[in-house]
Amino acid sequence: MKFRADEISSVIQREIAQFTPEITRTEVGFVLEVGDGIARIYGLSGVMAGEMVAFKNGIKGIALNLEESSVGVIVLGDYTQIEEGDTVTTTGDLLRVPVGDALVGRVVNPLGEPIDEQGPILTSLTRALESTAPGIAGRQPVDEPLQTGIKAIDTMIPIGRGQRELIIGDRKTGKTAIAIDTILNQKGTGVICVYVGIAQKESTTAGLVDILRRHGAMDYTIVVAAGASDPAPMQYIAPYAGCAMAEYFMYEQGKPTLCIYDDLSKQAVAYREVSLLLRRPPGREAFPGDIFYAHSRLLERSAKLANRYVILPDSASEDHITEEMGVNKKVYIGVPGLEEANHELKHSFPQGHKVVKTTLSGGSLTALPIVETLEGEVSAYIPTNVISITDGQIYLQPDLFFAGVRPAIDVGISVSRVGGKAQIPAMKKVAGGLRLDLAAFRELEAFSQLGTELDKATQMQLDRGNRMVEMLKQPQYQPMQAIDQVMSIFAGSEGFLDDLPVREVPKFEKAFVSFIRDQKPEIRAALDRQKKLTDQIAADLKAALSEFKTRHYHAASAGTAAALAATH
Amino acid sequence: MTAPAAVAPIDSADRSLLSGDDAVVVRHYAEALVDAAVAENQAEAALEDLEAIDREVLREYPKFRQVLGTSQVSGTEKDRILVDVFGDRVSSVVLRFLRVLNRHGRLGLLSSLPREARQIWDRRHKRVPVFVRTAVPLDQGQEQALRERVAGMIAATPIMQITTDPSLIGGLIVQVGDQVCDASVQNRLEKLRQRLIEGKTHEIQSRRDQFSNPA
Repeated sequence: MKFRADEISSVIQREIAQFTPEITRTEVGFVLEVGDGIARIYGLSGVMAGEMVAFKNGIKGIALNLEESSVGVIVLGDYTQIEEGDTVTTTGDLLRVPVGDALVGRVVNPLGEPIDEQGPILTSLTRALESTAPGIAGRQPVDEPLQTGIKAIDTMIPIGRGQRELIIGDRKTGKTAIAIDTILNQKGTGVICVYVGIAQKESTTAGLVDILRRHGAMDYTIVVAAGASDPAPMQYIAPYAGCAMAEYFMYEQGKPTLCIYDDLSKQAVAYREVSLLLRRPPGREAFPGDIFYAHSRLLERSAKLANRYVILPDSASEDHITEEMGVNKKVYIGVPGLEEANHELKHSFPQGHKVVKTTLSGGSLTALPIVETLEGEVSAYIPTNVISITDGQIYLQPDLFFAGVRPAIDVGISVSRVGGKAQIPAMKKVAGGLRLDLAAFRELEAFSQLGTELDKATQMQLDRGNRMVEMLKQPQYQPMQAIDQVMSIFAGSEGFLDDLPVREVPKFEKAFVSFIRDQKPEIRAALDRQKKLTDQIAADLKAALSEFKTRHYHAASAGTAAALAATH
Repeated sequence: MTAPAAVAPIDSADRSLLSGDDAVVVRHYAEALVDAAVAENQAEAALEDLEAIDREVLREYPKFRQVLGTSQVSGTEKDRILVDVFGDRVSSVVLRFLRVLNRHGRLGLLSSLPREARQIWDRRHKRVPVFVRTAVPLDQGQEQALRERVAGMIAATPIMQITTDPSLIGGLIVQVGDQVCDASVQNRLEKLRQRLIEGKTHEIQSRRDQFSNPA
């Protein structure tokens, strides 16, 4: 293919011929002062709060403060290029970020501009940075699990799609590690993940992207990064931008999404900086009065959208259902809608009809905000705020971390307020007693350190607890499927680990999971299909466990003995 | 996007007052002065005197301005200076105004007052300053036509300030308050350029993609 010069010029000529100029009417102002990511503008008398403004050299800003004689603007970009006296124009629009499939697999800044040097992002779709959260009618209860692949979380602190679960802990306790494992575990589930790095070191973000790429997780992940050296306004808007990118998939494509805000305490600090520079009055810990709203409006945008149902003839394919396809032109919304639809199906429709969910409904946005505490101080301002907004929290304890319990989740004080409903029944069954067992174990453990003589039952309980704690340990970047988790916990709670040395537990578990996978796939398949621990499956599992133990462990020791004999 | 260039950049002397509470104080004093002058039927003269003080004294003699602004010189001393310097050169209402300013320790605001007072006066008479920038000088007829047109648009008497700027190539830019109407050739060319770039980027990239992965 060759470009012909006359062809190009004729295209341009045609374009020019079609161009009808209009007188442009704009509203202008002048920069009075600029610095630290903030500009104070004189003029712009008709600007609206939150409106996007454009500086002379194309840099954008948001009007945050409308004062009597000036307008306070946060500068999104390199504020050093803006000079006193530069003109600023209103745009009549809110700040928008590019969204769409083109962003998946990319690393972008909070304005949606690529920063991974892989070329421009080709998308014409945009979404407003700030949008209102769905209302009551638009939502439905959380009912699907979002598997993190981490045993301690999926069993005892289950997270549902559309939930907001806070990850909180001191520095260096593995908060981001949990988030990354969760992203890795979404492979093949259709969940679009958005990781928002706020004021993280560039090297940390680069390392994270590298890990995601090596595990093939960038195929369904967007990374939004506002580095530690980016101006505070960029750090402030980063989570809203990431949320908008995820929202597109939730609203427009009906997909489940996962948003990780790493971390909101840094965003709060950035917002505090911006607010103080704009001379808004400081409140507790010098944070501005609306810091709670800054976080609540962000996290409120997480949702499980209501499914929308239509009634179709049985013969219709379920590939791409739209709302117009319903035989009675009626759309049934949410859980009450489903009941109504089933009722009508029974009474008004002859045989041969079914209720089907429309393809683009029922998306979800699960949020995993991260908050860093100082010396375990959860009663500081930002942690208490975010704890009260979220539907539960995962506490990470440095003591556990250094004792080798990793992930260092303190299951005693971590909770999930809505996720329990979303657990698969098999998991619910095996995990039911686990939390209580562990709580009892911790109590006994403290007691046993007194060195008193223990009766046999207590000793048994301690041994069991030790093995359960050992089993809940999990190496990084190795998320585990829910079915495998069920089988491991089952082995533990049925006492199959009791006669093993504690340090053998991880090895046993790993070998057992692969044993089932390779040699007893029918048990795994049955469990995967029914999601329930029926008596039959439980019996099969027990049989498989005994078989594995005799074969593997006794054979192994016999083999070692034989090998030893041969050397002599 | 490039914003239309400013028509009337504000100078540094004006900017200095715009931040903070000073703007409010200046407005109150300016209003008081206009009211007092109107009561004595001397409004125009008073405003002209004030502007002359700013133009011919404060700007010409920065040291004098410093003396008025500083707190190292006592109020009584400043009062004597004011009477000596302006005593029979300005209208009595302006002199009294200056002495009141001094008594309240607000002489530092003097340089921002003429502009504010003029604005208040103009507003009361429905007169609006309009800044026009044209590529070539307008002749009498054109100017008259433009004036009538603008007057119709803003429903007030425009006070035209016309400058020429050859860089516009053709056409003109009119600014009323913060509103800028840009009908210059420069702006049209810029718009056309933007359009060509935006319209073609997609095409170029899809062609490029065809190049790299021929189907």
